[in-house]
Amino acid sequence: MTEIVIWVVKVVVVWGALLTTAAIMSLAERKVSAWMQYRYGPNRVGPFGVLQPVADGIKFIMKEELVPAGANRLLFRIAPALSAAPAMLAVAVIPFGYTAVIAGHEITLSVADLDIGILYILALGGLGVYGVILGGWASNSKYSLLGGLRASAQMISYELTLMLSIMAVVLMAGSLDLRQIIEGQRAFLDWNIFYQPLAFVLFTIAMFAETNRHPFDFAECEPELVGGFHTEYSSMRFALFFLGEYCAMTVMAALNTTLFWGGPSVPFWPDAPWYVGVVAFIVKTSFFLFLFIWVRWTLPRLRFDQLMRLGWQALLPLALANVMVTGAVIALTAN
Amino acid sequence: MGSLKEVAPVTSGSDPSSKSGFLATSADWLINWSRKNSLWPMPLGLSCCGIELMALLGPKFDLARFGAEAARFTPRQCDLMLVAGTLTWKMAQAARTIYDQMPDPKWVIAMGVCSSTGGMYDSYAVVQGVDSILPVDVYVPGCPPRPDAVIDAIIKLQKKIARDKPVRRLLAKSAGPEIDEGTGRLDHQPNAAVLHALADRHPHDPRAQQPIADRVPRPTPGDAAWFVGNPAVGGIAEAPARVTEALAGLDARPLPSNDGTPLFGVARERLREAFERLRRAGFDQSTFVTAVDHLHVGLPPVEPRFEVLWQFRSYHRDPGHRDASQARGDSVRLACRVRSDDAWVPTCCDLWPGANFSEREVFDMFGVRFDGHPDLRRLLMPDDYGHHPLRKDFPQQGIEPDRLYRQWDRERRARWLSGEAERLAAAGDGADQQQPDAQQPAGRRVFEYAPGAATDPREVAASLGGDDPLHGELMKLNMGPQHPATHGVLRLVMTLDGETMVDADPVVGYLHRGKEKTCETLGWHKFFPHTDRLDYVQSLGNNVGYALALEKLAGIEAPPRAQVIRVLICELSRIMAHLIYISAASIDLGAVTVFFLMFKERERLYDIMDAYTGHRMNNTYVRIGGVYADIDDRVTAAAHEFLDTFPALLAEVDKLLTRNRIWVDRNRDVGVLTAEQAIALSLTGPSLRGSGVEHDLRRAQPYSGYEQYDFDVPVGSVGDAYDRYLVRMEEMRQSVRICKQALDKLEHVKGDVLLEDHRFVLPPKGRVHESMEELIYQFKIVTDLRLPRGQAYHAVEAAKGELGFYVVSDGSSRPVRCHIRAPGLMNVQALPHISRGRLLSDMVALIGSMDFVMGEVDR
Repeated sequence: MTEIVIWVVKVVVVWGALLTTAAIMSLAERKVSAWMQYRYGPNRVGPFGVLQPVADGIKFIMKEELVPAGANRLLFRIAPALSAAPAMLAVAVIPFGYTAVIAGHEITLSVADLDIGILYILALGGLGVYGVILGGWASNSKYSLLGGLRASAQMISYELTLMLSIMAVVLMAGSLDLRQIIEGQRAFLDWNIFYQPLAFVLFTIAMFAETNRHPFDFAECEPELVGGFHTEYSSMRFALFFLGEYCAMTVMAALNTTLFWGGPSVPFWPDAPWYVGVVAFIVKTSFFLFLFIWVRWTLPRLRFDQLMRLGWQALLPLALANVMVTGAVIALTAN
Repeated sequence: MGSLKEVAPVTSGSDPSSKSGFLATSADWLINWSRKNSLWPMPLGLSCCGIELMALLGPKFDLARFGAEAARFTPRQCDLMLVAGTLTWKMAQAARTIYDQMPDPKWVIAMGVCSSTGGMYDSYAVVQGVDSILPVDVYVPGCPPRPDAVIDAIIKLQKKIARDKPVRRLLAKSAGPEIDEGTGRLDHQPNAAVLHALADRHPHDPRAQQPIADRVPRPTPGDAAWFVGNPAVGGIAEAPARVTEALAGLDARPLPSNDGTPLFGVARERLREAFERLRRAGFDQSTFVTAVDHLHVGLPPVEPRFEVLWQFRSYHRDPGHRDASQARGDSVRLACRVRSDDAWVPTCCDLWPGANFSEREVFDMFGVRFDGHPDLRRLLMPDDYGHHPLRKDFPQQGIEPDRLYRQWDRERRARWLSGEAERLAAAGDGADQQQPDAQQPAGRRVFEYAPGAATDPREVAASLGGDDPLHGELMKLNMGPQHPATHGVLRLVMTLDGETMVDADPVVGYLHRGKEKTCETLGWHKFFPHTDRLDYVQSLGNNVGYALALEKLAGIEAPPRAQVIRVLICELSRIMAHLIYISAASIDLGAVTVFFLMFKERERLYDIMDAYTGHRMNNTYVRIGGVYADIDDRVTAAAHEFLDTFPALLAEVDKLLTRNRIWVDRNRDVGVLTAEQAIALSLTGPSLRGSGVEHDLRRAQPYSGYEQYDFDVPVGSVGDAYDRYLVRMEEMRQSVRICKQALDKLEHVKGDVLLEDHRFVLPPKGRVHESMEELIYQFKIVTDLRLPRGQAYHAVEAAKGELGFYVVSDGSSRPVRCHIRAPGLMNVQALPHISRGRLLSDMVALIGSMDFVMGEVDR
């Protein structure tokens, strides 16, 4: 009985945190960009405009929902959910802390401890693109179609780099279990960033492409494709796409923290209490979320062929070489 | 009681004893609160107001505070349509389509007088108030309104939304038959009553058209078929030897012109030969092609009625003209008169590809056909318009200007009511987003610069596709007229092979307001405010160009101090225009923050302009014979401060863009134009100099004393988008140099800023208030300014290139013709040539790099 209660509480807390993060991100995007551009950003609803996501959310729910003539109605309606659900599911295996002891119960701080956690995340990440492709195709609009096509090409290209950069970390940890990976990085000097800097850089670049974020936001690409795959979406279905995007960003930021920055490990305080670990995890993840925004409002956008060239001709060979070198070093040192 | 309840349901809704009423009220409050604080705008930035709309999003005003900065360019995600600027009947279909595509609830703000009432454009092309096609919630006066005024409108709209009862509406909807307010039932719109009331006495009503008798009897042209200038002012200009040689034996008749450009009348049969010889003689650019209608309303018909004019420039220096009159040897003008029942002339756009759009424009406006033109369609008016607006017998307010829109509207509603759209869409022939008239007239050929190249889109695609098995499946993609990257209301119909552009067909005219016609109606002086709204990002520069053309015709010159002030405001305007270029180009390529940096800087320039002229943009501060008022010390101090700190911003842009690898990759080798191509395509200004041609009118034909200033003319080496970017960046630095010199000159060049000449020049305002005679002069000049008989062309180096005014006067107070040579039109014309074979994404970079403003392109 207690087990079930703990499990339910964990689910509620983690999902709540994820959705809240997504809402905060939608505000942070506008506030941070405003600060970078000598502006204030939303500040009329609630203190510092914190209720802005609430206002946007209610407005979207109350908005008329349009399905364009000639759209494939079923797929058009399913696509946003397909886009948002995988990211929300993927968060389940992210370990956001070590083990907490509350009222005598030992609680592992993740919703589910899968021994193939990384495979699970990658599989769900691969599903996420279907929402974008189907949404683009089902809209019966050329702009949407082009956006969907671009997204599929981009995802395929960058998923390889993403997987290979993770592979190097997996080789070092000797496990696909994310908990094993953070256990291996408990001490500050054991953080993977010190052993796999190249994998970290590759992962970070692929992370931007995988979440369709600027400078790789070709599926949307406002100046060219108006809204890309979501050009024809209105009301809450449109908001779902964004919710999905922000959730995916959060998961990717958390994964980056977990793989390379020790997850909940606190530097120079190996036996920190569990809640300090959780705070450390949140701080690190927040930094990567900030990085998403920072890059978006600083850099121009690449061109699509440049993106593909970068993916196939630069990142993929580097990632392959990194895995081979890592493997060789591990094999040699093991002997 | 029952009727009272209907009228004021608030009483029952707010009754605390009724629990459902309380719930409904709370829900209403919550929904209204969310709606009013999350007004995502659809920025329908049509013209000048669009620039103020951008300023509204920028640092000083920051619409984001109201949660309303999330501008979406797809109508599906917007709540608020901000109609910013002049809506033309050609654009009306697109605007209405966008409105229909927005989901409920939706609101409309009419920003500026043009969208509120038609504003200063009482012409054949402009919708007299958008409320005749859209239900408007808030009107914002101003031309353009300051951003503060729009914020006020947003707050008013928020109050209006707060009064709404959304829950009751929801319940009513589910109970009764569905009223689809968002799909075009005009009768259900709140302003429908206004529309119907207007229908009878609308100024466009054909019954309201009365022939306007001329106040001044005009001289008949007489038996001489040519328009004779005033020998006292102009006289026959001496033509350089190569021109006389080229035209020898063609019966070319030298005619007087007021601007020193040799003008020859050539018979139609000899024109073709004249073109070819001039082309061989080194005249490699067509400056403009235009026409003059010599019909006088109220007088017997004149034949031959149309005079078609060509002006060509040579970039090959004539060795015989190395002296100061070099500039005069650079250009030659031809004229040919044709009868109205046989109105055609041979084309010259195979020799000068840049004449393509100009010839289409003459065909559109006058109905003169160009024999041999590969693609003679209308340019500015809709394809099935049916009239030629610049003919003298066409009324200023047009003949049934809304006919095409009403026809489209009827068909659209019939289709919608019969469910035909659904059936069509189900059959896979869905109406495309923002695509009011996707059909292209059959038989359009790809107009190719290089002779002998493939002209059929399929062949072009085949030549581009190589051995790709998938090539050849062509797709038409419509971009615009409302699209984030088209800088206003340009429309591009692109033929794509995958993502490769096979062909791009620019469709312009969505902002054609009939300025040239308006000038003929208003008179010389009252046209000044209209020149502001050509290239509205550099209003004062346009003023100067127009004033100089009129002064040339009048044979007067502004006093020295006025000339210095003109140089100063021209260069400040250039900086303003180039800042818009950088901001637009960067936002197109995704560097959004640069956009805001630029607007922060533009706000400082606005403050200077505001202090000097009293308005942020569209200042109208130049007059014939000088400028309206002297510049005072506070303005010069502010200008000094700006000029000292501005280069720091350019250094920051260098860091953000010039040396940014992504920016360089996106622009380098994109849209390469060789010097020869750029000249042939009639490009001028930074677009020409980017290709390495060192030609700047401030150097080549100095005006307003530019020869006294020390500045460099930057040129590019490759001719790609990156070169054009660098040229503009450097031009801003050079403008700073010129401005500083001008400010120094202002210290010691004293005196009047307005010429004392009661024939042409307004008396200073102060004296008008004191003296009866001055008041009479002021009245006469404003209403009845008569310029000497003759014709003159004057061009200035505007931010986009050669901005020229070709003015023709018959000595009366009504202008015969005022043709505006718009550099932006030529830049648009170059788009298909530089985009072929590039990726769709490059089109965005190319549009940015060609830098045009639709107000000037469409006029």
